[in-house]
Amino acid sequence: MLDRPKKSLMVLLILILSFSVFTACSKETNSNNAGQNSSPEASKAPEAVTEDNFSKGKFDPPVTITTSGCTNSAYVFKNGETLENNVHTKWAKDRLGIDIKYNWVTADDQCSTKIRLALSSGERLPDVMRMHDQNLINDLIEADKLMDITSAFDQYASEELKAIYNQDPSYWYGAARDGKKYGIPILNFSLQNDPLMWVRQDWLEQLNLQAPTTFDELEVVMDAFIEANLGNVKKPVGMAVGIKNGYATWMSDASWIFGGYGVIPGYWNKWNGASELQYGSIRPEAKEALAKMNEWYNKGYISPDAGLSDESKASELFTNGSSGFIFGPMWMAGWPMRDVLQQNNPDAKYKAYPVPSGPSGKSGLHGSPIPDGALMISKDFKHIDALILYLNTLAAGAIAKDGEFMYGWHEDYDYTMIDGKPSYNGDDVPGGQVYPEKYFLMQAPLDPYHELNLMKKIANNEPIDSPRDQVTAENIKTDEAARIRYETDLMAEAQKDRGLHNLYTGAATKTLLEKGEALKKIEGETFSEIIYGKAPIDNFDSFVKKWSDLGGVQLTSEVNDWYKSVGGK
Amino acid sequence: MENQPLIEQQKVIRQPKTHFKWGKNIALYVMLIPGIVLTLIFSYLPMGGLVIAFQDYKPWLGMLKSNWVQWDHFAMMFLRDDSVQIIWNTLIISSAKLTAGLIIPIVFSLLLNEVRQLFFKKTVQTLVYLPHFLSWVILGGILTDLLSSSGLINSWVEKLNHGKPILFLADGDWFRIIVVISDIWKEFGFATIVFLAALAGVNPSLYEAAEVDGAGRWKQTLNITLPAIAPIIVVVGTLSLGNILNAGFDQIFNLYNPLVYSKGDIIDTFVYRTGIISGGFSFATAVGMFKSVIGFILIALAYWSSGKFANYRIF
Repeated sequence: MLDRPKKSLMVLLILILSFSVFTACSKETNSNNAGQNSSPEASKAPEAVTEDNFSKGKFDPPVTITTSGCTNSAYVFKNGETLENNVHTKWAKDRLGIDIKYNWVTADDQCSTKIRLALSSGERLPDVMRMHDQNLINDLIEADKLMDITSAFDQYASEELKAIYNQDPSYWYGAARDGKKYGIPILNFSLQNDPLMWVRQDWLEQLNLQAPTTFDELEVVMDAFIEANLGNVKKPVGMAVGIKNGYATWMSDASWIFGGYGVIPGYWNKWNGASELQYGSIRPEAKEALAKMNEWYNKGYISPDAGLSDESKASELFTNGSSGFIFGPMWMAGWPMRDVLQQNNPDAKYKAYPVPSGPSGKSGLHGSPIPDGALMISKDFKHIDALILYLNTLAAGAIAKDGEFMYGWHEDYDYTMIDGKPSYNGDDVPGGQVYPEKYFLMQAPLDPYHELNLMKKIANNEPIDSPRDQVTAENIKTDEAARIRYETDLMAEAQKDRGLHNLYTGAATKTLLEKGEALKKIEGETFSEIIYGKAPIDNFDSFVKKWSDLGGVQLTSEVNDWYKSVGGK
Repeated sequence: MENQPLIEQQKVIRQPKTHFKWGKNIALYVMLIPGIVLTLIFSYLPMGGLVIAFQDYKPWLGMLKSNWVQWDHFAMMFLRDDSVQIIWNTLIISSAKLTAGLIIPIVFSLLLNEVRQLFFKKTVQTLVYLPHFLSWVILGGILTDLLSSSGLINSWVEKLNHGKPILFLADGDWFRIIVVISDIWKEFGFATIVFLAALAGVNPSLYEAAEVDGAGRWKQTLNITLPAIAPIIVVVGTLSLGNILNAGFDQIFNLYNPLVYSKGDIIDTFVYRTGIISGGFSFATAVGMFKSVIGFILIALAYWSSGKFANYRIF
């Protein structure tokens, strides 16, 4: 009686087994395919040294550079183009003999994951990879997947390219290890993310007040703003600050409060003349700043929602008229100021000022790093000369006085010609404005100080030689947003000496990997609780002790070892 | 062709005990195959990855070449100051959710079952399960706005609380309450579906008999409806016990902040911060494995006790 069910069970089992064999087989064939895909390229004899091609400025026959693409919803295309096939890839092929191929295109937030997956599955990596995740860069270096390009860079890079990258050795810290360069750093504009004090200028004028320069003056103006409630809101607050994601943030920043006492929480520096790098959050200055923030919280200058607000959420307090102060970078002139604040209230006027100074007479703000990730280069890449030729061409193009790039990257993409003059107005460009930079392997290398130097030249009425920059100079006279950008740039330049930098920009140390989260958690908890008055200010001292015991001491020595190893003074 | 049923019947008569009718049921077995294959591929195969919980896993070395570190990651999890706190938070939040998430749908479906107006009943049913389809990213934003110091809720609270707002999401105790209530609000409608289905299956003649015996609605509910749906309640309860260590990552992640770490940080958010943000894959796997083992033990226990005390068995 029982053997029948048993038999069927056996059949079922056999079926399952055969299926698993089937899946195993298909897996194998998959990997075989992958092997076949990559092997021809890998086994292709390295093309005869292409020295000639490099000096000719064009590769013939064309060489291929593979990369990976990261897109987001903000990517717009025109003329039916794609990331794989567009005006720039055509240009690269025709002009330089470089065929840009995308191994994969994925969403922004999946980019690192995709490379990690390729890394763990042993898949061949793209030749060049744009990366902003320092941990991933470190993993790739450690996994020995990247190419040492130190000598190639010296050999092929143009004078312009070298001038950009060799002006500060710290640009290379992220992309290099033990003196070997594994990638080309991507550079931000200098001071691009340094916070400034943005004020509702129309409120200042209506109340006949001056922009504050110290914390005390700031308190007076905040009181006046709250009293007057010119935004006509239910609950006016002093300033728009969000501390959910920390204190030194990209907008709605609070680091300047600490900066007024001479430290930046979360940053490593030789604070106030210390002999070695120290963690900013455990310095006694941070305690004073927290006491101040607690006072400001109690006085209603800091919103009770600050602890739950991230950068954008907190900025709503400024854009909806609850508050007249917000601290953030120069580019806020466009968004959220023009795009949100003035949409809400067309009469609103805003202006940036240097951050106010603290009770000690000092002022400080979190300095923004210039290097921001890098274009990492795979060990299997065969045409490093082609890549550097490409970058040389872009670097020259970005500051070209004449030639194909004198007005912009591609006509009818980022600019258009009207009556022989370039226009950068999106409405003028037929078919809509599309910035070709997003098609580049990495943004065109440009001196981080280029924009600031240009603004200084404009301010001093010095001659400007590049046509693109001449247009910028003319725009400042006619366009409101360009004028504010210009003024803000100069304001940032004026306060540049107050930037307090994070000198630790290297790989996560062993302790940081193991204990980093625990250390950060107690810091976030203690700081918020002190500001909200849920814990007495003296809890700061027990936090410092706990932090040190939990691994902070070891972390400090590891960070200092790293700093010495890269030759920091 | 017409004879076929007859033959089948004869077979049944000859072998009354066996239910395995290979020839007749082959279609059913074939339909089972995709499910089995998928379970194997997506549920059993990945279990092999658990070995990285015992390794210092490096993606480029893979599972075979990474260094073995035995129980280091488990030790690290329990040596942290806050590990007990995190486990407690998880248990408190999730057991509150489980209990309320079981009782409220039962009560609600009993009430809904008494409604005789069909249109009203269907409308309510649809309305209450709609929130289930909203994501926590969106709801998190809405809740943060509603509960902020100048939000809608606080404009009422201030009238009762001498003009002072309650900082719901900045206070640990309130945070837990908000998390539980908002989760119930979002999910109870969906959970109701199962119970309503069970209620529909109760034999009406039982009610008729009870009415003849003079039982009112209340007595009928107590003595007929509840016993009839008891097995379903046991199944739902047993299955949800396996989730006792899942306090709801999506929800907490979108609502929490450093101020409520002490009362609101749960295992999953903790794993996210250490594993994903800081790149500690092995550690995150170790914590995940710990969770699964506890979940497994709890399900086994619950299943065993439901067999013993409620006489309910699936297998």
